[in-house]
Amino acid sequence: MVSAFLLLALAGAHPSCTEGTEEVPPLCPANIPAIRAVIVERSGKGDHIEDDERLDCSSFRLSAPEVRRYFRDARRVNPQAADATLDRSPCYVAGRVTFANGQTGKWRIEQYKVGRLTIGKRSLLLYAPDAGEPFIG
Amino acid sequence: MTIDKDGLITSGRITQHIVSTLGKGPLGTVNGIVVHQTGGSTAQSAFSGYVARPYGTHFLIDKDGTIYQTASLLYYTSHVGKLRARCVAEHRCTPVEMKTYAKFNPTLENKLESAKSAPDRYPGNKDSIGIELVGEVKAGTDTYVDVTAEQNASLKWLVSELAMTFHVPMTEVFRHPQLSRKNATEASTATW
Ligand SMILES: [Zn+2]
Repeated sequence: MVSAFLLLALAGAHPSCTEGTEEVPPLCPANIPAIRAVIVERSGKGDHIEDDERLDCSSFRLSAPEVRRYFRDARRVNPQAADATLDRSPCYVAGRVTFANGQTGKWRIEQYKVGRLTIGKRSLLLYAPDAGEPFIG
Repeated sequence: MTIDKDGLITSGRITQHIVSTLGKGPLGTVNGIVVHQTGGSTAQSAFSGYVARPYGTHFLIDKDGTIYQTASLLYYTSHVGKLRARCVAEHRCTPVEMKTYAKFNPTLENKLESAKSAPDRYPGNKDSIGIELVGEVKAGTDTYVDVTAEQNASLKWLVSELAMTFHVPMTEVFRHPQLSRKNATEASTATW
């Protein structure tokens, strides 16, 4: 029993993660704690190679309820697997979150449905494949 | 550099650390070489990542310059992701392509690009060799650490040997964010 658990932990596998393909990384439960409040602080354009004039970050804005919905639907992804599969967008919205247990965190959500939630020293990379407008991809 | 029947390189400069699950299928004609940074700070974390999830490259270069071969050159690996439109980046789209690509749609763009042949498109998983450099994103930032001098020396040697062996023009060696939509700082300090 113990060795089976150890093997699973070493492999980093999770029984509830999807298999993953060349276009979508394995998607795992994000287990984000219940949220008390979301604050949207800023939006902008990050340090990415630009997609010339076709890319207009001003069209990407999220309200607090949209951010809550994103966290509800998001799955956790591994950064290495994400690098091999998912598009990253320079357009982002960022802010803070307070959880029901009093903990706080920082988040940053990109237009191509990838997000990062940082709680203390723990950082989760997220992906919400079914997120609709204003997300794209 | 010589490559044996199993796709492994015989060279005193390369340490074998093959993770067989990284190989996805037969590697076609090699049209390009793609340089990455791992996002982690040690070779060990990359190796464990490869075992847990089969996404990675043919080679891994540690911070001290040690080169590991991690996948056989008989197989392609999953490391590129969706392709950007090469004709947009190089300002040489046809009027029809210009019209198609005017409305920004990364998924459609990848689909249309994948149907083209290199070098009209960027190299993808099935026709490229991948090289990862161990390197994390600096804490609290969105910026990758600088590639070390030792890594760049090893990368220069490896790229030149692979380019010669597989007849890849040096113009077809790319940093990952050039051909796919990634954090622009990934491998930005890599030189070859
Ligand atoms: Zn990469």
